[in-house]
Amino acid sequence: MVYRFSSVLLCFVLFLNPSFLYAFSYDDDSLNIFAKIIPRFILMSESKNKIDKEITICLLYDSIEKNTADSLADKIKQNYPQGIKNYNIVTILSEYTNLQACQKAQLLFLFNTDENNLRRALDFSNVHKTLTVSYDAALLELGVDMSLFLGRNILPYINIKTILAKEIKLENVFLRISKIYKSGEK
Amino acid sequence: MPSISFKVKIILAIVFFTLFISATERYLLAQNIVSQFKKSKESKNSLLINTISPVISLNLSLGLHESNTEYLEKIIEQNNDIQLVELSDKDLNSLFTFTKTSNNNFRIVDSNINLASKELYDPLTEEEIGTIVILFSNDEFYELQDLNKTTTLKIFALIFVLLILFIFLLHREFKHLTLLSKTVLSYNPKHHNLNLEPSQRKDEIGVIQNAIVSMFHKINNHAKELDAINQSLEEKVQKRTAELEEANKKLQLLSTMDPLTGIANRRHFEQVLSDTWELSKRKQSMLSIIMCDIDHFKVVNDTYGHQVGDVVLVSVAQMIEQSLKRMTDIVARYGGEEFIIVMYDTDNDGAVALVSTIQTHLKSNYFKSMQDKPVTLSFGISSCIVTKDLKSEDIIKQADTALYKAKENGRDAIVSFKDL
Repeated sequence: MVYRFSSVLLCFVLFLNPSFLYAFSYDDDSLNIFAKIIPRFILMSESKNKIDKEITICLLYDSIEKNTADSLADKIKQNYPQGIKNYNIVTILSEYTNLQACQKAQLLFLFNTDENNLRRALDFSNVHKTLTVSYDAALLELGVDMSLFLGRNILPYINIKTILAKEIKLENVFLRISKIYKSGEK
Repeated sequence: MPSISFKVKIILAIVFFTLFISATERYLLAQNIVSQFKKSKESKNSLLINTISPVISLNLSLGLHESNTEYLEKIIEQNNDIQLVELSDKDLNSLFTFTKTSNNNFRIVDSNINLASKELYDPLTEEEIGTIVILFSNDEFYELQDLNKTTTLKIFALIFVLLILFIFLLHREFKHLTLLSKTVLSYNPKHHNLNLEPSQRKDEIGVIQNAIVSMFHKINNHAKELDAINQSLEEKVQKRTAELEEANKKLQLLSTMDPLTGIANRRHFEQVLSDTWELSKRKQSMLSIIMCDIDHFKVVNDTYGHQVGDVVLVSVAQMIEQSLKRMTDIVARYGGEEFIIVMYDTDNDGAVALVSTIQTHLKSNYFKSMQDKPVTLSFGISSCIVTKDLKSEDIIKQADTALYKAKENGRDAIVSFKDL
């Protein structure tokens, strides 16, 4: 009886948990593309100047996205086992509650979360002039710097307004292959 | 070697140089255009591939193959001359292929204008990640060549028309010169037949024509002056010729005639005797020579003076001459008061008959005022059939011998040599 109650309570708790409400479906191929793009995005921006010895990417997630974050970290590792351009790639897996863990990161990858976490993460990135990438392109509207445009084909989706606000310059060729986000587009 | 006319030479030279210069210019220009076209195509192809390769490289490095496909399709759409695009990864696996035509048989005219290929490198790691090959159409090149040919043909057609026009104009100008030369050649100063008026043209041909007209006017004037001088000279020559003829006649008379008596002189007699002798020899006819001497002529001179003596000589000579009725007979003064007569085809009797007539005539009609000392004549006659063995000197000598005999016989006598 107690077990049945506990099960019902668990289901109720899970149902009411905001994190559960924001649960998102992540496509493996898209993650793979992100895994390829993210380190290059750093190297093709002025953020590469912040690189000391290694490329540091901070993957911010809610606890519910832990596995996905691990998966992305693995994909990065798989795509760049030797690092890139003589730089090792270090991925920091951190929950949104522990933003300080991403202080040395040149890029924050934002998994879906609630708006407050997102605001805080974006504020953090603005303070540290750190690039932000989100899986969901809809977050560009909130101030994320880059995402993926999933149309007939997949393109980097650049929020040029926020990047300029951070005074970060991107290489032209990267801009050429990217789609420029316009506010309210998506 | 046949000579080529000046007109043909000019036409040939102009045609040759025009065609040579035009052909050279067209050839060089066509070469230049083709060269510029190749450079332009090469530059465009190079620009295109250099522009797209970083994007493709980045897409390739990011694994955005669909982006590459879309991008390349857009590039192909924007560049109609692209015939083939082949994108492959570093292991030569084809990632994108495009061919405009069904068959893959492309002709590469010039690799610089036809083909553009580039190895693709990762923009960050600079590792080779693939190759892109683009083949461009030759249509523009062929169109350029066709345009070059068409332009060349048009230019040469224009040159041909201009040359024809030039030749026509040159022919027209030379026609004028030809007419001018024909007029000059047909001109005869004697007939003054120059049908050429001064030209109104101000060019070289007009100047030449006016110079010729002016020259011919001068020639005409000089010819007239020469005609007048010739006429004058001709008249003078005619006059002088007539005078000369007259003088010649006189000279001839003087050379054949005895100046005192007006009958033939001895030299003329000898000439006539020679001719008559030869004729008689050919005909084997008779010839008679009569030697005549005025008897006691010295007494006449002494008595009446030489002037009367001369009158006697003249009178006797004229009388003897008038006695000769045939043209073939001739009397000549042989010397002093001696006369000699030659009679062709006349025998001794004929000669005697003539002499007798002369004597009778002399006694009855002449010198009646001198009856106290009458003028008589002695005659010696010699006649013969002229043969080749006989000489004229012989018969003269015989006549002279007969005359001597007549003188011996008392003068006023007739003696024939055959009677001696």
